[in-house]
Formats: sequence, structure tokens, C-alpha cells
Amino acid sequence: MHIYEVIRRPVVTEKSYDAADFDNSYTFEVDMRANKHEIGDAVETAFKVRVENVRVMVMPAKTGRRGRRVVVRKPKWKKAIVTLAEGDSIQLFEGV
Amino acid sequence: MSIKITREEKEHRQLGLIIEVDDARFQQEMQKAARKVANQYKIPGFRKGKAPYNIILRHFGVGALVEEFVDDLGQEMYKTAIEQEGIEPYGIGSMNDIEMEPLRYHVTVPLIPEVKLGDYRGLRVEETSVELDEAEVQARIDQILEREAGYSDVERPSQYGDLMNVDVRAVVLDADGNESETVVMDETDWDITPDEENPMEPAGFDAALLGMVPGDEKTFEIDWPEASPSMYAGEKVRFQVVLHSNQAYVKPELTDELAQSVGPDFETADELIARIRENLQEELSESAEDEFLGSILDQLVEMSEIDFPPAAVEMQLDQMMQTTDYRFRQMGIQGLDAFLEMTNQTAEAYREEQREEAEKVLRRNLVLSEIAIAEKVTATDEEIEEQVGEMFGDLDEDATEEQIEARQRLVEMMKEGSSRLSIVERIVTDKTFELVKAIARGEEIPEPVDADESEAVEGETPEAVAEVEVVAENEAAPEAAADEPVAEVKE
Repeated sequence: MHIYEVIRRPVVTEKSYDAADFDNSYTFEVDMRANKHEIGDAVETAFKVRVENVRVMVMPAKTGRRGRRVVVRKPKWKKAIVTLAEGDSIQLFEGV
Repeated sequence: MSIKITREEKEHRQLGLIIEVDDARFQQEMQKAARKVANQYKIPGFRKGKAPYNIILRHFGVGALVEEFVDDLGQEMYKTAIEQEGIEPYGIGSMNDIEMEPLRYHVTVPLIPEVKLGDYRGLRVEETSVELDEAEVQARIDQILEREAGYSDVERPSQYGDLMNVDVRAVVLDADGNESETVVMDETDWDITPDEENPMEPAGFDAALLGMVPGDEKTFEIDWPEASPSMYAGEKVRFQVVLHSNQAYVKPELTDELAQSVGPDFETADELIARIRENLQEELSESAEDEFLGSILDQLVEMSEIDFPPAAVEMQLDQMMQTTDYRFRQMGIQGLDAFLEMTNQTAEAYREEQREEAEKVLRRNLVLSEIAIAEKVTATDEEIEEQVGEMFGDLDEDATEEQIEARQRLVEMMKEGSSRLSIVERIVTDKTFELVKAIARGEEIPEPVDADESEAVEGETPEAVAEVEVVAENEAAPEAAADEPVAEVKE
């Protein structure tokens, strides 16, 4: 899998913004098939930084109802929080 | 705070300014705008007002943020620039262009108009002599007589123009000359007026009515003309007419009694005529005076070099439209807009129409105020007092203490602040009018005296007067036009 297929987009929220500020951790939405190693490699190559730690989680799908039918409104997705080595930073979230 | 300003001379008394906003200030304003915008709109992933500056910047773009404060900042910068440069603007400046990075405002400031008077003291204008037109006097008298005129019974045989009260019965005759069943008309108590120029159908009917006296009965036959569109065309019709009364239109002679009925002021007819003559004379000389003043002003404008910013014309237009609007309201029309709607005009078109007039008035105003300054025309305390007194009129003899007091308070009020200024303005305008008229007549005018030496109003230096704009004569025109013929007043 190519690295640009691994990282889908940065997650820009209040929470992720704080994480970047205080923890030097940057949050991305990543491909469901990617594992921690692949994500770390992808971030290192894409942003030219050193990755210290990668945490991943699968965000649950959001469902809604239409009558008796249950419809999936938002599919599940994988989120990765990547902690960078001290001194490194990503000009985060450019081009959302 | 100092700002960078580049001056740029422009023609027609305008000054171009380029005002540059320094970066620190710009950033400060951007932050402020970002906070404001963030509080109004939600950015996904952030609660309202919680998004950081660069996120907001990216989300909305620089342009949107600049938009937020550019007008207000422009106002502020304009004010500061005017102050810093010591410019005295004549009116509101206009923003021409806004440049980004660095933020630069291009503004045009209208400057106080410049008037170089010509040799106005050498101006001589021929006064048109007023001559009373006797025909005009007669026309006025006729007008009064016409009102008194009416129909009255007469015994003489009827004529064209009389008001006749008749019974008429008209029947169609058959071939043998006997009356048929067909009745053309059967009218009783019918008022008709035989007319020579516009006769009734059938031709010859009017003529047949002449020469009758009340009580007469007349029977006549008329061959209804073939050419007539009437259904009786070609028939022979017998008319039977009974005349009950006959009235003639009588215009009274101008007698003393008639003069007395016109108004209590008139004892005799001669007095009435004298008054009419007097009024006419007054009207004539008034309009001649207006014309005289108008031509003086035109020539004064002609000989002067006047340069003013285009904004001045706009201001004059605004003022004129406001006055018109006010006048319409007084006339009971719902303002100028309603009038324009009624006449199917747009406000813009009307404005354009007025532009030429506005420019003319403006030129006159400028020249007049310049002369007022040059001649040091000022208003004295007494003159103000007098003017205020005139505005309120005299009190009744038996006015109560309270009324006197209330009036006194009003007078005092009028002598202060902006109302005082407008009164001074009026006095100065009138005095300047008189002055230029005297000059144009070739009268000897003393050199202007310094306000300090004469009885000047306290704190009213020539410079202060200079700021008073002189109002041109056309403002006063409607009042003059309201004059009515003499008899109208007494009714």
C-alpha cells in the first residue's frame, strides 16, 4: 500500500488541536487496512519527521433509523494519533 | 499613532490621499475580526468561538476577515489622516480603492471651494424698468366683475346666450301635414340656452327660440336635415314651445357698492382700482427685482473664478432634494418619493435633472459668501433681535404674564446654537443681496469696516461669518409666487 493511501486526512478538531499543542501528537484518519508501522512510516516520509509512537483506534459507525430500517449513516473509520519526536512538528492540517 | 500618508494633488479642489495601515495594526484588526467571525459561525470540529486563529483564517480566507473591519478601519484611518495632515475637508471624502498587502486606502477629500472674485465692485447692471400694463389692470377688474356676474330675469325678447325656461313638445308630421304618433320630445320646465355657434339639433331650432318674451307660445315646423345622424333625419317636425321665463347673463358695472362687497377696505370703486393697481405694481417690481438680482448674480458668477470639488454639487443636490421633499410634505404629498412615483420618475433621473440647477445655485452661493467675507458683512445683535421678533410676530396687547414669559424664552432659545447660526445666515444673505444690488446700481459703497470697529456680534469674527453659507435667492421664490390677486385675500 502506498503511503499516500495510508493517510486519508488530518483530523482537525478542538481536541486534536490541543493534542498537537501539548503532546506533539497529530491525529489522522487512516485507511482501515493500515497498521501502526505502516502509519508511522507514512507520516515519517510524508512530513519528513521522526515518529515516536502511534496509537490507533477504530471509530464506530454511526447509524440512524428510517422507520424500522437501520441505515448506516457514517461508516466506521480508523483514527491514528501519531506522537512525534521532540522538536519535530507538522505544519498541521494544511489543506483540510 | 502615526500612519503613512501620501498626498496626491488632484484637480477641482480635491486631494487624493493614500493611507497605509501598518502591519501591527493590521494583524490586530485581523485577530479581532477572527474572534468576531468565529463567534458567529460554527467551524466543524470546534465549538463556536473556540477555533484557533489560523484555522479561522484558513476556513474563511483573508478576504472575508478583512471585509469585516475594512470599512470601520477606513473611517478611523480617514479621520486620523485628516487630523494628522491638517486638512479641512469640505464634505465627506470618498473611498476610491482599497489595496491589499499592505492595506492601503485611496481616498479623495473634497476641499473647500476656491473663489477668486472678479472686479465685483465695478459691476453695473441695467435695471429693467417696470411699467404697469393697463390691460392687465382691466383684466383684474374683469375677473372681479366676472365673479359677481350672474343670470337675472329680463323682459326683453330672447337673444342668443339667454337662459330660457321652456316647455317643448315636438311631433313628427306625416305626409299630409298631420301630427303622427311619433313624439320626438315632450319636455316641461326645461332650461336651454340658444347658441349661435354651437346650435342644437335640428338646425334652425335655436334661431326659432329668439325674440320670445315670457308667456309667449310659439309653434313652428322644421324640416329635419337629411344629413343629420338623427333617427328623425328627413322628417318634418312640429315644435310647440312655451316660454316661462327668460334670464340674461349680466356682468355688473363696477360701482361703489360692488367695491364694498369685495372687501371692507374699499369705500369706492376708485379705491378698489387703486388697490389693484398697487398690488400689480408691487408684483411687477418684485419680479423685476428678482430678475435684477438674478442677472447680477449671473454676472458675478461669470466674472469670478470658481473651483469646487464635485462633491459640493452632490451636497447641494442633497440639500435641494431635502427641501423639495419638505415642501411636498407641507403641500400634503407624501414626500418627494411619492411625487416621483406619481410622475413615473426615478429618484436618480430626477437628481440628474436637478444637477444643472444645483450647480448654478452652488456657484451663486459660493460667490455670495465670498463677497460677504470680502465686504465683512455681519449681523449685529439688534438685527438678530429684530429677525427673531419678526419670526414670532407681536404679542396681543392683553397677553398674560405667562405668555410674555414663554415668548421671551423662545426668543432666547432662538438666539443660541444652530438656530442662531441660521438666523445670522439669513441676515447676512439678505444684507449681501442688498449690497450687490447697490453695487450694481452704481451706488457709492463705503470700504468694508472691520467687524471689531463696528457693532459686531460678540464672538462673531469675520472668519466665523465666513463659515455661514449664504443661501441663494431661489430659496425664497415660492413665497413670492404665493401672492394672490387682491380680492382673494378678503374672502
